[in-house]
Amino acid sequence: MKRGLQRSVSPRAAATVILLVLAAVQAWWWRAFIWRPQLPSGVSATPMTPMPPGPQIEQGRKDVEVETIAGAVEPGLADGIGRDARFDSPAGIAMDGAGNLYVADSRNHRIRLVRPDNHTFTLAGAGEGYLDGPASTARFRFPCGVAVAEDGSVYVADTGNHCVRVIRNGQVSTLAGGRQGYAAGSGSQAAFDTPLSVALTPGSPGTLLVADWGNSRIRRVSLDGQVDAGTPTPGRPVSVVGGSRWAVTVPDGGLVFGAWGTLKGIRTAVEGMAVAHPGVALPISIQGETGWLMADADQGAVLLVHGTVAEVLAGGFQNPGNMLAWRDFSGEQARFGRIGGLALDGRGRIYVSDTDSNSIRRVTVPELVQGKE
Amino acid sequence: MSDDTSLPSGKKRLGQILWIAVLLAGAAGVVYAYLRWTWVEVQPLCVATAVPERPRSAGGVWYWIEPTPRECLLVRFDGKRTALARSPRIAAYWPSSKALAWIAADGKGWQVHRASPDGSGATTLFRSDHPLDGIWTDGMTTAWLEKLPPPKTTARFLPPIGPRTVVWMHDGRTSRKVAVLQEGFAQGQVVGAVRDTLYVAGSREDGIGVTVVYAIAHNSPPQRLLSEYGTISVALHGEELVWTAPSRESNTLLTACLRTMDLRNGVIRTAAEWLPAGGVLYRRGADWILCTGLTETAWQVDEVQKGGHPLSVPDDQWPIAADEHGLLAVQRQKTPGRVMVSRILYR
Repeated sequence: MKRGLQRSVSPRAAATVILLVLAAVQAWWWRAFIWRPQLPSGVSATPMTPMPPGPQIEQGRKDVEVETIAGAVEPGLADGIGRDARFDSPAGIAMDGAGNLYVADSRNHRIRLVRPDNHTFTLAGAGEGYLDGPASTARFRFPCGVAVAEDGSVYVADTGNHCVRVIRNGQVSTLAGGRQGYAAGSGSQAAFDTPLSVALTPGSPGTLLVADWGNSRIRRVSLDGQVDAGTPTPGRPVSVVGGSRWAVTVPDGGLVFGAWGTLKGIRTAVEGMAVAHPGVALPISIQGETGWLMADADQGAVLLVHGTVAEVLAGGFQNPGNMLAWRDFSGEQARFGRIGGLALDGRGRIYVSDTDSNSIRRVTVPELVQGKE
Repeated sequence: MSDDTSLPSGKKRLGQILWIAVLLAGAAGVVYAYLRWTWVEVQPLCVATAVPERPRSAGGVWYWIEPTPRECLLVRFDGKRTALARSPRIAAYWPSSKALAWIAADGKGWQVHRASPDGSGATTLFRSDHPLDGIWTDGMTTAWLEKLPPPKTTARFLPPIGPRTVVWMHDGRTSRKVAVLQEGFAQGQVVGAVRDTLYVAGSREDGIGVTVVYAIAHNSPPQRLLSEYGTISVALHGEELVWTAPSRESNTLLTACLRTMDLRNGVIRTAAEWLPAGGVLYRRGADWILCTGLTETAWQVDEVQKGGHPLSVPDDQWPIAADEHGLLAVQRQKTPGRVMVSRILYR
């Protein structure tokens, strides 16, 4: 039997067949499994986008903490916790007394809500357009400004629709405006041109201030929809804040401080620092004196202006054409894109709407939170 | 004398010969299959005056732009190299089997031209003082993008006061504005049309680079289909939108993936991962080829294995585009004003 087997299978033939099978297996193995997604040798490995080489005038502080609480650099539309949420060019932000952050998510045409537990929801909006009604079906067009009243009403600068909208009890309605132009009056009789920012003056019932960018005016809107002719500004305003005195920022002309009816000094720079383009400003109390939190409109930096001294808290001045931003950690190492909104919570922490990086960042400055923990 | 040592009979010898023949045939088959798999042929095509930019093939004919120090040439290669148009700047072009359209600047403004695929019968469809970009034509319809500058303000990153892009369409008789997009594109592209919907892609002008794709249907507002971080390549194949995107599995910018969207139902899937970042997508048969990426080679995307592998390219060749037949490449060693353009053929 054994002898018969030896005779029927030639050792040479068996060895050759085995070799052929091995060669075939090796060829298949080589093609299917050996390949790895590595760069071939001798090829260039220059990054797709060069790192920003822009002059670093000054960088933020080491003791300042920067963290991303919602969104990521990748644009998109998604609710979720922390970095699972997605925004697309978030602009103005406002915070209520409970620590909820309202975000004008401009390219998503929605108003978003970031709760204190960093959970992001869509408060209102169903896409681009103009439609009043239930918050889930209402439509906005590139909303850029948002303000929240003590009663929970949220006022929106619906920039692309040239009007001011209000979200109250789950319903969206138009408070004033609705056509591009310039007109004082009541409700839809009034006209705005690209309103970029809204702010509420303190007190009850309060008054809305609107940065009417196209008309270069700050308009005052009563909460029943009466719009005045406004106060001219020496440039196009992009941001307005209300307080004991209101402030408006005109990036091309510097920061304009003003009380209602009169405009006071214009600052184009603070002690030689490049704050020539203040995009957003927020009044802040530092040791009993009023200071200003400020974000440059053209470069990624958060500053604290106190008297005539400006200090970079976080980020650093970058060339806006070369921004490769979104880095957390300390104020010195953090990087921001261009900033569209600032807000403060009751504990003295700063919230930054990083428009370029499609995220909401939180900046903690030791002396601002001291005694408020 | 045993059977083993005896001379083989004629039948046995025949059997052995057949065995050897089969073995030789098998071995030859394996060698042939391997050679066929890895066989590469470089066919010199022509000498260009500059490295061809944005090469594209239509109807078996190659087109590209040659930017020389003095002027830009729009070149057609159908066996011989012909300069179809000359201008100080040619911003974009699109060849189809029925027509050729391109955008040229002459220092006074920008014009949209359309001609036959061989360049004859050229007519000017549109003029503008604003930069034009991203043209597409199917022979009947021509579409392009016009860049409107932002107002003079530093806060132009807010969408309503930033730069805008106007989408124009010419139906053979008149030009009409079909959409205004609230984004300024450094690089805009009309990707193509499916039924009555036009697809437009563009990389945003400043700040952190973002590429977006819009669907523009007749008589309805533009719909933003997707946005991706970085500058990506977008292509249309049948009813499928395909684009490179930052990798979903890696967190490095040097790695990309290939994503597809079924335009009938909007379903997005990741077709391949671990591809090099950058580059332009081309269709070759049933495959996607990623050219002129980070690795300076061409990568064939394998949708079955959800990966890709670099194609074998001779050391002296730099692939710049692909079509049904193979790769278009230029010789790496360049003499100023003299660039050898070749075709690399596989299998």
